[in-house]
Amino acid sequence: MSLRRFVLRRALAVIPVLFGVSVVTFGLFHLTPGDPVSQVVALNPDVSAAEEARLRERWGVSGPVWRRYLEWLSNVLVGDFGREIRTGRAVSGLVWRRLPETIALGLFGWVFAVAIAIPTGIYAAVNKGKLGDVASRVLALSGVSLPNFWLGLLLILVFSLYLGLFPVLPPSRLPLYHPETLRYLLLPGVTIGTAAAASLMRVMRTSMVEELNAEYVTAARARGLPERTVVFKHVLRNSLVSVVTLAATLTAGIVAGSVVVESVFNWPGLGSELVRAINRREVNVVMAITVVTAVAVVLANFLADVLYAVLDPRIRYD
Amino acid sequence: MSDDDGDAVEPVLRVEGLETHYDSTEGFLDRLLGRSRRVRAVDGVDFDLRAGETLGVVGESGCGKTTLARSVLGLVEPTAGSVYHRGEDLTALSSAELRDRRKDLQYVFQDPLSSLNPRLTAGGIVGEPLDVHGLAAGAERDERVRELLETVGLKPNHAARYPHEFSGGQRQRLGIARALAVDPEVIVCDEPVSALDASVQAQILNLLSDLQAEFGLAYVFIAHDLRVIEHVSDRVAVMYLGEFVERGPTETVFEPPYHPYTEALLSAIPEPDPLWEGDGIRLTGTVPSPVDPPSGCRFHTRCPRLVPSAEYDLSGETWRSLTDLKLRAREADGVTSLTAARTSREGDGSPVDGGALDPADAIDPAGPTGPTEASRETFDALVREEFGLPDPLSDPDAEAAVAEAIDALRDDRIGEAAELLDAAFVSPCERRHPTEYDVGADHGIACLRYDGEFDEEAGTFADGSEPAGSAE
Amino acid sequence: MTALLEVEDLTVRFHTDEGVVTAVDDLSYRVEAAETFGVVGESGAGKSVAARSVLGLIDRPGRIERGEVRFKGEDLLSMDESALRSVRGDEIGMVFQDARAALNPVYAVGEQIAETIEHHMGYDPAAAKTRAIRLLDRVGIADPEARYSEYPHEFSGGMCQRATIAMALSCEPDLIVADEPTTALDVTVEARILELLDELADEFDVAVQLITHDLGVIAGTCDRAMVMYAGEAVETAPIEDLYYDPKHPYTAGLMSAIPRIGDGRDRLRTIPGTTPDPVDPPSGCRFHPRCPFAEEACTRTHPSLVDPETGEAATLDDDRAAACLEYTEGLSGGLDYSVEVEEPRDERAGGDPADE
Repeated sequence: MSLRRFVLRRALAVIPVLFGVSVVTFGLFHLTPGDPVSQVVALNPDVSAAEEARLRERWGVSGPVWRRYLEWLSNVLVGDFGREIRTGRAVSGLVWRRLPETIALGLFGWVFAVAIAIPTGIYAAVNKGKLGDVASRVLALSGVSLPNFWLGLLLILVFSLYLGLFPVLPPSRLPLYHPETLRYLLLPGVTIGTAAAASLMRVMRTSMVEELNAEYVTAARARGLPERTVVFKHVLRNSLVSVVTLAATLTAGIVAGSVVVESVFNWPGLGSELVRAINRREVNVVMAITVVTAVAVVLANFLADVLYAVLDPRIRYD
Repeated sequence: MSDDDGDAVEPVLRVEGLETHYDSTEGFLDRLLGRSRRVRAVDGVDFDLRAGETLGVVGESGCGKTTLARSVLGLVEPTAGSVYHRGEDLTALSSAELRDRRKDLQYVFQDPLSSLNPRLTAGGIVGEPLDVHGLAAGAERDERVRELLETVGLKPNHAARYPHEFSGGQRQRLGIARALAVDPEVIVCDEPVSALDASVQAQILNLLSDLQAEFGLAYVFIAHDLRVIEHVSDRVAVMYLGEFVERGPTETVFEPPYHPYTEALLSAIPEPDPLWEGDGIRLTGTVPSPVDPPSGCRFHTRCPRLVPSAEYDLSGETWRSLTDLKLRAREADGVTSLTAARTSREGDGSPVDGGALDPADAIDPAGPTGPTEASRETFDALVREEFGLPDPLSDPDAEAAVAEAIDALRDDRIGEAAELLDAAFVSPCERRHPTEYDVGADHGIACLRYDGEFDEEAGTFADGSEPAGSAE
Repeated sequence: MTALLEVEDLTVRFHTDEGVVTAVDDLSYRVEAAETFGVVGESGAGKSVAARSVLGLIDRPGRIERGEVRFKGEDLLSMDESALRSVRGDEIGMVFQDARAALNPVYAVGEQIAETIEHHMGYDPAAAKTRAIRLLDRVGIADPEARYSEYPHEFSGGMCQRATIAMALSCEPDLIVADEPTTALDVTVEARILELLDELADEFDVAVQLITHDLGVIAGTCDRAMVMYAGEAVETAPIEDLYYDPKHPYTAGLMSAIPRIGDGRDRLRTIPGTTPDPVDPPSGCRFHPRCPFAEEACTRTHPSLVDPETGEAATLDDDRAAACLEYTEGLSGGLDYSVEVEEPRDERAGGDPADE
């Protein structure tokens, strides 16, 4: 099977998954007892039955569940997530404003994780059992074990308060593409990427050690190829296969981590918005963010699948 | 060991029409679209196993022999067919009843290490079947374990050791002791010695033969090594692509007449004798996929003794070459796969002088754009060279058909060429799935050449019919 | 005169958790230019370790402790890594037991051959590709142009082995070290690969050191052979002498343990016991616990390789050597075995190939 066909097949397979995501998201919010209208009603005992019905109509919580679902889905498909209850503003506007902030943070976290993990993993594997290997493994273990809210606070404490290198809060209206933004991204980005870097490095090291013992490595050496060709051409590509598999799962971790990290650093992304929306019971906002993150995770998995097939021809031909 | 004429005796195991197919369909989409890939691992196998005898099953990897072994004991569920033991069909038994049957039917695995639980001691491993079937307990059980270990040539004090503390041969002894624990009638041995060194292999083979004499065991002995099979078996079955192609008492299978596949297997054995001159029969190609096995005789894609069609006056060798061309044309994506590599014709001899492998020499006489750009003559010669076809063929009709196909190939009409060849050259072996023909007492060969009714000269059967359609 | 490859007093040890394993102990042999030299032995004999030592491919925890590996008169073991790399793949090629595993699964088979050619011969990519395709054709792979860009998993086992043979031959080496090249293959494929190796060795004028556990493989292809047991050479001989007049009881035992078609034996002759513990090998002759002719002296004195006729210590140039006390001190019972040569199968007048 050609790579193109493989990608096409995988892309098609994403559709039922996204459908499932929409059903689960909608179901969770609408089948659990206490819809937003009942909550409003509970807080304001003066609301009349007629007013309640109107509210339900307006917020789209009347009628049978399946019809509400279809309505909601058709709106979502055209990018309409409904309105905020308090302000009446379109939720989509809010999401599109916040999404780039979170993507920037997540990408920075990723780049940081990969930039640290891959070279360290290679170094540790090639120098297995030596001091550098042991040191990097100890660091990786600490990286995996540190909770990110704690790491975030620690970084703020050290770099912002003691050393004064970074401002504690990001400037509110600085556009993302402004070079200055990078400075503000650094601490939250490192915080969010550390755990991923640590797990990636461990997997990179393990899979590289395993691949280095493979017969094709001996065979490559027996052909007189220089060690750097053996490691960077032959072993690296094989080792990356397991790294990519892990990377897909880590994406979900980074997304989840963004909720905490954005709150700690007051980063104006979807994560901190989610916390706010939950506190204010903005159902439509919470649903919108849930859907967007779920789609992001599904897409990350799809990308990982494609990357996987690019790296390893055996996958394409299955 | 058993008599060959013991037909009257009810066999301990009778296998009828056994088929085990499994699904290798991968992925949700394939399943959704109903694209299934049925692997016909075992595809219609019959045999009897008599008390106290050894039936050897030999074949190359992928022929389905391990699946056969497992299907016989119900370790994998057969798709069709029956396995009778004491008159009862094992395939119809419930899993509990089948488990009970395992007291009589045991299995010895190829890889002793992976089939022994590493966390159990030797005593635990051998004693486990005693516990499971409630055969012995307490002091009696320990005594029986010691006895079994001694029977297979281990020491009673080995009972406390773990599998990794044994050598490969000792582990296989342990596997045999475990099988013996329930005092079975039949043991299916799946490549029991192929992982072992020659000297150890001989020890295990001798042990199996001693145990057979002592306990009256019947073995189904699966192996890829004909030397081992010949040594241990009373009767032999040769397996190819899920089917038995030859079956009979050992002496007769290893002597002419042979099934062409058996003959090729025998010819390929490396003999430990420097002056040995083999027959030099070499099979070309690889075993075809069991997903979509070849039509007619499944061996026809590789058979050195393919029956030529009586339409033409061609030698068997030329016929083989024609069939290879035809088979390759069916699968080809490009014409290059049907021509000799363009550079190999330069004929500057051996590459020792660096000549033939020098890139400067690699300038393609057919031009860089491919063989189809070459002259009709050159192209024709390249195709004939690749398949060893004489120019011209001895039969004028055949020559005309080949020439037409080569012309089509040259115009890059591969599909058309394949159709032309398909229409012109069809061996009776491709048309008819051979049944087993008797060539001697209890000796059957599933090859058209041994069909008494079939007249090779005329290409017809005794009743004048041609072998059309697949009879089975 | 120096031979193409001269291995002298090679000792390789592995430092494992269970103790120090001497995988190859004081091994000496030579391979002449263009000859096929067989190394036969069972698992644990040290034949693979010896083969890999030739190319300096011993990894931790293994270490080449002593000895010389002289290739064209130069000691490979004292070369620096980069000089050694220019010999590997260029002048000495290697063929592995598991050919599929020896090919990198994520690169096309042809690319891997071309890679070696570019590296050692300085060809540009296009020329290297042409040469790789011609090699694939030469080792009998049909449609080499298309196969060039296919991946190892698209090749059958036999085709993988053909491809690695093409790879080993790619820079026209003087020596190929083939480590059990046919063990993982079916018998019909094995026969074709052995014939191919034989044919190519002849055509490319390359010497082959063929390592195998199968005496049948050696018999059909080699000019001379060495039998190894527990890390040591126990016998070296021209091929016909080895089979028709084995001088070491282990060689004789190994031969009689092979079942042969048509010999009509009910029982196989066996070598009792198992290969010795590599951490703590037996004293004296390492084969004595399994040798039917062992005497008291065998448990004490370690026999060295000697010329079986004269009893003098064997040198690298000797064609015939065996390590048994019979040829130095003499055993009181002697070596009581003889060899019978069986008639060809079809003529069917069999006897045991080796009997007492």
